Parts: sequence; structure tokens; C-alpha cells
Amino acid sequence: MERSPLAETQAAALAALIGLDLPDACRAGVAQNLELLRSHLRRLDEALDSAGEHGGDAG
Amino acid sequence: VNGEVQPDSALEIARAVRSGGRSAASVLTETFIRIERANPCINAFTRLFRARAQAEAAEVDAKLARGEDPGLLAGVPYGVKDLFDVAGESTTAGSGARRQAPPAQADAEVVRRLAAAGAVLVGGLNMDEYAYGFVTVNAAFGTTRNPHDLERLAGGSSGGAAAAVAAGLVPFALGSDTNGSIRAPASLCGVYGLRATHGRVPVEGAFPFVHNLDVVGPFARTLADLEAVDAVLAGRQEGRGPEPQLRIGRLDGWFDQATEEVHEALRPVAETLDAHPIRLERAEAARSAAFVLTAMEGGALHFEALRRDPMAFDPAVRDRLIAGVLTPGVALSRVERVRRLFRLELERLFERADVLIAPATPCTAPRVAEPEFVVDGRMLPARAHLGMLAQPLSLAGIPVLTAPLRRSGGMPVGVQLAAPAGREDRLFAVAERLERSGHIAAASLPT
Repeated sequence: MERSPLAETQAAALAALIGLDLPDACRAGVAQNLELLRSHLRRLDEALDSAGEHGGDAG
Repeated sequence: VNGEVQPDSALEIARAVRSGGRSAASVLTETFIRIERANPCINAFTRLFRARAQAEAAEVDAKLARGEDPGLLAGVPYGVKDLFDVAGESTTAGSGARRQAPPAQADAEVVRRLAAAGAVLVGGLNMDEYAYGFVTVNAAFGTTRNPHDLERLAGGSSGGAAAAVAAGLVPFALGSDTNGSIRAPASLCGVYGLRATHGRVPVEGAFPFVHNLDVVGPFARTLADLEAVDAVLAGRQEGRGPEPQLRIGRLDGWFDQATEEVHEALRPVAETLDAHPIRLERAEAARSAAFVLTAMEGGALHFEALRRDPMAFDPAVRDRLIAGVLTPGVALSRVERVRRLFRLELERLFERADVLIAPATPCTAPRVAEPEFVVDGRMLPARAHLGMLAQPLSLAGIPVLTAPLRRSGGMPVGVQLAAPAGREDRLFAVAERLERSGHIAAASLPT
């Protein structure tokens, strides 16, 4: 997977928000895994959409 | 590793020991010799518990000498994945950072049950760090090699357990299966593996990963051994009457994502069982739900350690866990809603079929040097994707038995047999039929 400096910076910022200092060595791997998780989350959305179940995350 | 000597099954060993034909101590001595000879090639065992094993074997022999019943698994040697508590030993869970962890105060509940049945614990077995992976490539403890081809992966995360059983080092071993970590290595190493109904076998004293998905269970080279060990682990044996007439469904759609070699291997089984194609809707979403849940729960479990010292983790595992930590919590409600829909879908499916079958892995064992595989023209990394056909079924909590397909050549591959929660009896009935007809059997090692 191609590296994305922007995605890596975003991952580091997100990590800092919860007190996790992301070492340089982790940034590319974390950004790639976040992208993979995003693709799985999209599939969840699609499944809920097709079942007419979307909305109501608070419920 | 070769197949010159095919060691006895667990039940054969127990019979010999119980009848006085062999002592538990002599069985143990032979086991250690076998491990010392083969383990350097496959790297299945990370450590041996010699003193404990000798004491347990001596206890079995002493009980026999006193005329007492030493148990169903008298003198049978076995190993455990490195995430089970063993009294007096550090539970590493495959992490180099935990080598010096305080020793466990007591045995895991399943280890205690096996000891009470007379089994002899010989050592700990390699795994992906914290069970997060399908490859058993471990930065601290090395790579476990497939006994059928040392250039290939054993699968994971219970790769050490599967490889040790496949190589004949022990007749059975314990692993854990969160997303397919028993089923994937059982498939790649050509042995039986059981993921029982979620909650059926106690997980107390097993290092956790994902509470709602974790199951512990056995690997074995024979179906009878698998069933006997399962009965001990679960603390009960469901009676099986005459073979029932069962309707078999062959899962298609998502579960068709396998190489032609795997489809070829599965075809005779589907024909013999007269399996009809059946579609499990939302399987892909279920897989995604299991994937997301695992990253998030696993990440949360290790969050403090990640914050303290991220570099102490295996890099391949660390980056996945951190990504899970960074995923917004709102995703969990989506996971739960997909899980509910998927379970309803499965309930409907089980009205039309009593047992479902599907490949256990999309391919045979990938090469260690190229840990990836191709399905439908897509190249996928093995660490995250070898369990893609196992993961959806994990989300449902149903029992799944992986059986090795008998092949005339090539690397091993297994079939998953799945039944509604609590119906392990159906799985053993179908597997027994397939074993009798010669369609499944533990893969022989090359000579």
C-alpha cells in the first residue's frame, strides 16, 4: 500500500488526542490499518443501509 | 520432519497406559525425544515444562499402581498455546515483553480439567503475539513452519498447536479461536480442530483477546481424539444416538472465495453429503463486523501498554492494535446491529439446513517468504485475511469443526462444518460419516 503523509499525520494527531505518542516507526502501519478499518466500516454501513437500519447509532 | 513413525492417538496411548501396557513415564520420555528431534525444524514449542510433566506422569503411574482410575486421558501428552495459564509459569501470550511477567498462580480451568483426566502437559506452543494474526510469525519467538513443507506457513494464531499435532509431537493440543485461529491452522496443517459454541468451554485462565468472540478448543489427528478431549474440556459429553438424517447446505457467495485447488478438494465431500448450495446473506458484513470488533476490543485491552511502550510490541500486531484504539466508539453500535441481523439470517438458514459446510481457508498454506495469497484476482496479506472464511461464523458464536480433506497430493486444506449453537453432536455425526467414507483424514507427512 502506498504511504500517505497526510493520513500518517492525521493518525498521529488522533493518537495524541488520547495521550498516545505515536513513534515514527508506527505511523505508516497505523495509517494503513486505519484505512483497512475504514473500508470494513463502510461495509457495515452498506449492510445497515440495505436492511433499512441506518440512523440511530445512539439507540 | 517426516512421517517415518506415526505416533499413537491420544485414546490409544490412554488405553495402553490404563491397561498397564505402557507407563505414563515412558510415553513422556518418547515424547520429549520426538520434540527434541523435530521441534528445531518447525518451531512449534517455545518451551517445555519438564518437571511438571514428569510429576504428572509419575502421578498417573502411581494412581495405577494403587488401583485407582487415572482418567480418560491417562498419560496422554499434550501442549498448550502460550496464552493458557500454567501455574508457576509466565503467560506470555506470544509477547516477548511478557517473558518476565509474574508467574500464573493457578492453571487455566481447561488445563486443570485435563490434569484431572490424567493428561500430561509437556510445554507451551507458539502463536501470533496476543493471538492477533493468522500466520504465527512472531517477532520474539520466531516463525512456526508447516510440517508438510517447511517453506510454508502453519497458519495462526494457534500455529504452534496445529504444527505440533500435525508433526506427531503430541496427539492433541489446545488453542484458541477468536476469528479462526483454530480453524485456519488446522486447515493448513491437515489436522482436526474444534471451535465449540461460544461459552461452552470455560476461558478462565486464558489470556483474553475479544470477550464476545474468544473460544478455546482442541486440535487432534483423529476425530475420536477430538471428541474425547472436547468432552473433558466441556466437562460433559452429549450422547449421540443413531446417525440422524441431516440436511447439509454448502455455503456459497462469500464462501466461494477460494482457489480452484480448494474447490476441487471440497467437491467430493459436498457430493457425498448431497449438499445443496445455500446463501448466507450478510456474510461479508459479518466478517467486517468481526474485523472491526477485534481491532477495537483488542486495542482497548492493550491501550495502557501501548501508551507506555509501543515499541515493546511486535510491529505487525502493534500497528493493528493502535488503529483499533483510534477507531471511534460509535462503530461498536454498528457492529452490534450487524451482528443481530446476521444471527437472524443464520437462524433462518438453519431452518433449511442442519449443518453448513464451507472451506476453512481460501487457499493452502502460503509460503513464509511470500505471506500472501490470491483470490478472485486480488492479492491479500495472509496475516489479516487467511481467516476470511472463518470470521463470519465467529460472530454468530456457533460451533464449527474443521476437518482435514483427504487429498492425493498437494498441501492440506480443511472443511468447516457448522451447526446451530449447542449442536456439536451434529458436527461429530457428519464428520464421522466423512471419516468412515474416507473423505477426511489427518494429512500424512511426506516421507
